[in-house]
Amino acid sequence: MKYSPELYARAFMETVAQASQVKQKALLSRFLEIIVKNGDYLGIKKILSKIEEAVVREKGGRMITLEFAREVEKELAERLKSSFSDNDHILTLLNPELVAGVRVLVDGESELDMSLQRKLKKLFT
Amino acid sequence: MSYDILEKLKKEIEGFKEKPEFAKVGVVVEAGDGIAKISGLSGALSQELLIVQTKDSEVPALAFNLEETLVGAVVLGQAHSCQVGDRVHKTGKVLSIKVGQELIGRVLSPVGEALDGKGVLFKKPQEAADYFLERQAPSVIDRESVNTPLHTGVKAIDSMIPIGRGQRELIIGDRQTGKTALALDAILNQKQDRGRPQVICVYVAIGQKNSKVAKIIKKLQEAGAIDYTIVVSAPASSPVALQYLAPYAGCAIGEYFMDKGRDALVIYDDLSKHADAYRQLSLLLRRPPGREAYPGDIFYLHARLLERATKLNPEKGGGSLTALPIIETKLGDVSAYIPTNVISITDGQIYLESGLFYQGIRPALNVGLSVSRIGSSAQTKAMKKVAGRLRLELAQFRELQAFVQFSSDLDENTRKQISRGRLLTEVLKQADSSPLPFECQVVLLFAALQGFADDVSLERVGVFEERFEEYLEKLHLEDILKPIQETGNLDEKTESALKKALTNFKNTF
Repeated sequence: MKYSPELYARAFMETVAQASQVKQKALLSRFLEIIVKNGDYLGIKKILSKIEEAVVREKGGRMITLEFAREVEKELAERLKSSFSDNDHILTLLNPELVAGVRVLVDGESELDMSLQRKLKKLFT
Repeated sequence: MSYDILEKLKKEIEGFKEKPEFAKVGVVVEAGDGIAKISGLSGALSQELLIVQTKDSEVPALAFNLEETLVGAVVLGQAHSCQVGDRVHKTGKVLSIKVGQELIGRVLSPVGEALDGKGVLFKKPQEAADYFLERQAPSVIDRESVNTPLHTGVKAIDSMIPIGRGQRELIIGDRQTGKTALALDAILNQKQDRGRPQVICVYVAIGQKNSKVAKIIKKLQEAGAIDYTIVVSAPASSPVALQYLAPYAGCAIGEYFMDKGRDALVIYDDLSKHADAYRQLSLLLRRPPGREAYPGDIFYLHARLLERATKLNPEKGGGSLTALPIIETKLGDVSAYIPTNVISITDGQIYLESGLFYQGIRPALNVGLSVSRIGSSAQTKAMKKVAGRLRLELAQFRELQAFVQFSSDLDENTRKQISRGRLLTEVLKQADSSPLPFECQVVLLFAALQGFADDVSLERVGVFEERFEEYLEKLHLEDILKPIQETGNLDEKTESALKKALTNFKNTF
């Protein structure tokens, strides 16, 4: 990758912020063209997630990842989500390795692990 | 029995309490080639020990690159078990190794795991101390000048390129020129070097074949040298991170004994492979390559390691750490990047030449290019007295050597110098694994330089040495060898006894 996804995201955000609303659509297509031109198309997912992260942060939100061992009831999931702010971006994942329980990761570096996997590991090591 | 275990487990489960709380973690986002890129861990410190929680176990890693959004870490355990998504925890500690008296005679990895199959390293763990692998070198105030010799048992070295305890002397040469053999002789000789405190030896094998390491260990065991030696091994098959850490681990072990007021000798075999390991790590971490693709801090890598070798002053216990780094050159090119770096860091070098090796001059020491910058102040008076002229005579011989083919046309004086040079070259020859005690070196060199061996044919020089040594040990142990060994001096009385002994011996030889 010629430029890191973070750099792409930062450049995109700053350009969009400076441009008028009319120009913003054109900017998006130009941005995609540049990514293709630089040969970084394979990393588009990473770039988009970084842009998403930047947007969330701009609004004062946090990136939240909720990992469940198996599919949870809608009501429970909603209840969990409601404990976060509206500006937070919540991503829900399924991870059977957790055995049971939930694992919450905030901003990629603060974690609350309430999974059975962790408890079992702690018990037997 | 199984019932007891079950009941114990039940109790443990019943009593298990855990309060969930937020913890700082990192997440592995890239893993491969022993390197892990970790997101998060914004407060990680450089060289901090991290723990990667893999599926089956916890794997240690070392924080190397602190980037804006990622931490580049070197995995110290089984790198293949490290996967994307694995959680990483900080420990707040830097890498350290457990050291203690019990390590003597053992073979261990750079992270302190026993490799010799003799069980745990410490039977009394409370007596072991934690020593950081990376540690600041002693300050100028804590040091003192080198003043005690470290005899290698090699005539050519102890006489012309003397090494002192606390010195850093580089052994440099092409492959198969006897570098390791020379270093091993230095270890073997510590057993017979009486009159000074016993030196604890640490042999660090970096990127070597396991078979070679096994041979070395066997050699040490057979000679009884393992009783005061520790082997740190990071063979070629081990992860590159361990090869990078090996010399620092060896140095930390040596420092433990130095801090206890003892003398330690560390052999780094070899730093060329260490530099290669560091280059590999740096390139994998995408650090910018410099000359010969080595990273910019390659000088610092070796400088900070070798700077830890020192002689401490009496207030600090008076211990010493002598370093014998080994560098392998390619086609005798000493002006390559790593050789010049290490030459400039060390207090001298022993240069071994393949040309001399194939001529049968072993050790294949190039006397002209080899030097010891500080060792002469630690040389014993006896050796100084005897070998003072040796370097000069050999230098003159080398200059005259070009005329050897016209020897019939040369004047008497030149002819004499040439034959003396040939004799001295022959006297300095020595087989490997047969280090000579310092007092024997003194008497042999005395005999050669005082002209007692001038009429001995070159083919019989070896026999002359052997028989004379035997003769002295049988008849003059008390009046010649012991006084030299105990006082380190060749006083007038001993000298006249030696001359008399030589004359008597010559009559029978």
